[in-house]
Amino acid sequence: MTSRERVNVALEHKVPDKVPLDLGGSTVTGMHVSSVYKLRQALGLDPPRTPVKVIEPYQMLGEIGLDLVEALHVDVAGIFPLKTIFGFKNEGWKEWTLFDGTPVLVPEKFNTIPDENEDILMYPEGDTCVPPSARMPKGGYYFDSIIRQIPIDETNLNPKDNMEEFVLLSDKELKHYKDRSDELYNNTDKAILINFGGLSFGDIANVPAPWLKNPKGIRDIEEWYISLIMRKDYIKEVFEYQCDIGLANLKKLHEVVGDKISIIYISGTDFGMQTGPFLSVETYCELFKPYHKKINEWIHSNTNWYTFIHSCGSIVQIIPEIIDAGFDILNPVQISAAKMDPHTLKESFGDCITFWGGGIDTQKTLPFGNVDEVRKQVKEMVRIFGKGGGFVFNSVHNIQANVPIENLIALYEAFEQSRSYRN
Amino acid sequence: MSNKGNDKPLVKMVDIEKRFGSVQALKGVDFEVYPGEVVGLVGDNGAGKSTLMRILTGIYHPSRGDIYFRGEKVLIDSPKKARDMGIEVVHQGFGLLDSMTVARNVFLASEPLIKVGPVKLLDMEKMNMETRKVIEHAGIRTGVEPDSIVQYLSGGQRQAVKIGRAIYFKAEVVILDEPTIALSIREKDHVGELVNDLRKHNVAVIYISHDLEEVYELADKITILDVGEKLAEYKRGEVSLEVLYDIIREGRIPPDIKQQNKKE
Ligand SMILES: Nc1ncnc2c1ncn2[C@@H]1O[C@H](COP(=O)(O)OP(=O)(O)OP(=O)(O)O)[C@@H](O)[C@H]1O
Ligand SMILES: [Mg+2]
Repeated sequence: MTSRERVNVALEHKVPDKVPLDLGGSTVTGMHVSSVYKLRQALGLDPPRTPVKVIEPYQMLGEIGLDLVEALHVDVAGIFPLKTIFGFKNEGWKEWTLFDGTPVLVPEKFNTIPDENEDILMYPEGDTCVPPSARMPKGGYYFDSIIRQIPIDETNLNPKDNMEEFVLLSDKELKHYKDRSDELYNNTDKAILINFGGLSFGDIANVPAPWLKNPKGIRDIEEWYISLIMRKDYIKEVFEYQCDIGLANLKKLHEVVGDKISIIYISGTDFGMQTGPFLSVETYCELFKPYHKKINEWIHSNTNWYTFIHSCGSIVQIIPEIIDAGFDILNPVQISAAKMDPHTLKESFGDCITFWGGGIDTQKTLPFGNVDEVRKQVKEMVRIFGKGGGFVFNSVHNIQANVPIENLIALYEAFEQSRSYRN
Repeated sequence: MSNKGNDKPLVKMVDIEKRFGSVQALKGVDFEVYPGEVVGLVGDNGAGKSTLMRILTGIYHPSRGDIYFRGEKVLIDSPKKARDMGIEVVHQGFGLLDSMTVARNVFLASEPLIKVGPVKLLDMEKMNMETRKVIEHAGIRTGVEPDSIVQYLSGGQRQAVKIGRAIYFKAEVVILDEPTIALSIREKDHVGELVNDLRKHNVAVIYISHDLEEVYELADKITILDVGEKLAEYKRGEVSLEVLYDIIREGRIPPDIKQQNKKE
């Protein structure tokens, strides 16, 4: 069975030969560059001190190269947008060093300036003449957005100010998606996941718009959450516009990539916290679901793609609505959050949605547990979620820096030992 | 040094195939290396050299084909397995942790997973003593002490430490993938000496390089890969360097030397 077949069979809720594995297929199923470096070294893929590319500079995710994919028996390969979240392209690589000493390669326009606390400041489009849009604290591993909120004048709020970022795909971008999908489709047997921005409604990673030099409208995360309750019409108008542009882009995208891709990343908006949902089921149904439904319906009636939604936290109450909105895949399945018990999740929703994640807890077990605890959890989650298909193995969200290399190795070894459906 | 068993291949790879999607990186390659033999593995970019070696070192699994070690069929399904069997990779240039001493490097190795050797890590005195043996093995004459900090060593000295370590820990196969790419001429000569040293210790050496002249000088046997196939294999002196260049450039064997081709 090829990787592509394996993933597709699992997504049809049938049993493939082995549980499929994703690593690096999306910006929420990847690995911090520092851990990628350690893993590549441990596997003997590179000579020591060989820098690893940072393909997502906000969370500092490392490139999961095809050699690593092959070495770990990963089944998914991702396609990413031309431009990063900071508005510069992923090209023209230069050397850079993390606070922990890891040698990495970053895009040419990854221009940073340390501030007086030795925090590192990042600039939209790499333009150091405008105010910075993100900060990596001294000793840190990734960036946080800097909130650039123009004072809100309640009487003059204009939804158009929050629509600036939604634009039609350029020919260059379309060519990029086409070339990458051709390349991966022909030169690998991996299932292809396309990470295509612009369909994620109200994702708070995007609200501060770290790629814009001069963001207008509502850009403060707290203000955004307030708006979900107090300024619903504003939000709806933004989402309406985003949805129209999104649908137009999906059409264009489908024309160039066709059914070479298997999965499309739609939403990364977090609906949950550790203890429960951020917003009521009613709010989800009123503000988000109609647009999710439109997007999913278009995709399912025009393509063979499966749709992917990511939401951290405890979201048990919202899952039925997510399923009803037409999503095929749920990620990251945060098993450490309240009420997110693997057995219950699988039993209640396992027939209706594919769990993509939930394989290992990345907050506690992976970074702080011992090798035996890692192995045990991996085997248990494969057994629970794997039953009857409908499962793609991945950690709960990206694997962070500072994971002991023994644990990383144990994770993939234990998975390899337990993934077969044939025994 | 006993050369017992040198008439049988140490590693024999049979009909190795490797597919990546529709790309066939290896199309049924046979490859052998004997104890104490230095095999030059050459071929144009994308020929499949690294892929073949990644299969031997357990990083990739072959799509088809078998591997025999000392005549026995083996399954090399992880890098650890390969290392346990005595298959070591020595990378180019800076193969060591810069800020540590030579002794720490010898016993820690650069890969965090290997904790080889008979010595407890913190037994400094013993470590230094053993390291001195490694240095002697590697034939480094000047300037390197067990407590030298690696960042002050030259590229050649670093290579030597790694190779010395391989000999000391009784590696049976040492793979050098482009070992001289970042080295000066003098350091290159030194790598040559070290390869000869490995041969003397009856270690099988697989030497991958785009520098044909260097390979021609060092190798007992040269295997030429071309887009995933074994194009030809020559023992030392069977063909001239010029002919080798021609074969790799053309991707085929010129008709006038075809009869010398050992591949049936
Ligand atoms: N993990 C992988 N996924 C997909 N294709 C791969 C992978 N590894 C290698 N290939 C392809 O296999 C072929 C052989 O590559 P390989 O790296 O073995 O060549 P090589 O002889 O080592 O080349 P070079 O001299 O450039 O190092 C190439 O077409 C390469 O693109
Ligand atoms: Mg190579």
